[in-house]
Amino acid sequence: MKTLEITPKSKDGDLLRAIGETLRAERTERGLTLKQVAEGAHVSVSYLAEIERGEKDPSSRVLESIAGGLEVEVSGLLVRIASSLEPAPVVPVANSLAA
Amino acid sequence: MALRAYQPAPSGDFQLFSYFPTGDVWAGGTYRPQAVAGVYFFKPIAASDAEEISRWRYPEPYTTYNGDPASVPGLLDPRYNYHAVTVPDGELVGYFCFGADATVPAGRKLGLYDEDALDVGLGMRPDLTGRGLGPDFVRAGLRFARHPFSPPAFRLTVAAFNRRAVKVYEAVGFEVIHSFGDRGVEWLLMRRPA
Repeated sequence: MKTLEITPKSKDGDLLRAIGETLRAERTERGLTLKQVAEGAHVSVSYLAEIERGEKDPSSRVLESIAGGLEVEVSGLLVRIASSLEPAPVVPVANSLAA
Repeated sequence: MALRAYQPAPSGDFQLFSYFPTGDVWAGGTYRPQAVAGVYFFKPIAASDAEEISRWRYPEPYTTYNGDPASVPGLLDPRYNYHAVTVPDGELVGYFCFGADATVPAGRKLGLYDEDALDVGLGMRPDLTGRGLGPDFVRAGLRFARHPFSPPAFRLTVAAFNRRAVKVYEAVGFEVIHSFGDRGVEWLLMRRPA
């Protein structure tokens, strides 16, 4: 039996990139340096930089710490990350079923 | 923030402070690196210095001080008064920063940074650390800072785990005046007269 793939696989790294870009945007909009946010978040400068580049995958706990370092609510951060993600492409169900 | 006390005061201090980021020397004329401790020269940080510092890698347990290419803009931000320290042949051996970037968020929240002291931050090139060079290096930085900033006192914030740094600061006359924790991380606030 053939499985239906309703949602296409997301491109690898899209979410990581969205997280990183959002964190960097929040930081630069506040005029904060990497060092300042890292010190508030209790992560190292190099780790924070890697997360901002989408090279490291922060756990939810780390994300919470970084929100603390940025002095923003983690909920607001998640909303911004979500809105920066491209909407998932719609796959016409009828076509899938026909196949 | 601590640095505010040294910004546009009605007269003297303002000139001393504002000349540095623009590259002029406080005595007038073109800025020249000053040899303030015989072997150490201080100059406002240049992009090439910042890039070099951002590549420095420290051994455990000091990896938290490792930089990253993305830390360059922070090092070059004129608000933070980063200065490169070189030896006479021009080799970069460390850096100092004066003011806001030498404070930590937890301390700011607690209101620990009165304007009666200049906050000092510093770093030495990794291969020069752990060799007993710290006290002279710090003394040189403080001696340098007296001219442009004329602070009543020096203050620094150090992570409590960094016993090696704390020993250096104690050796040059800093005393712990406060310790504070922030979600599992301990900081020490140290101070000494200028």
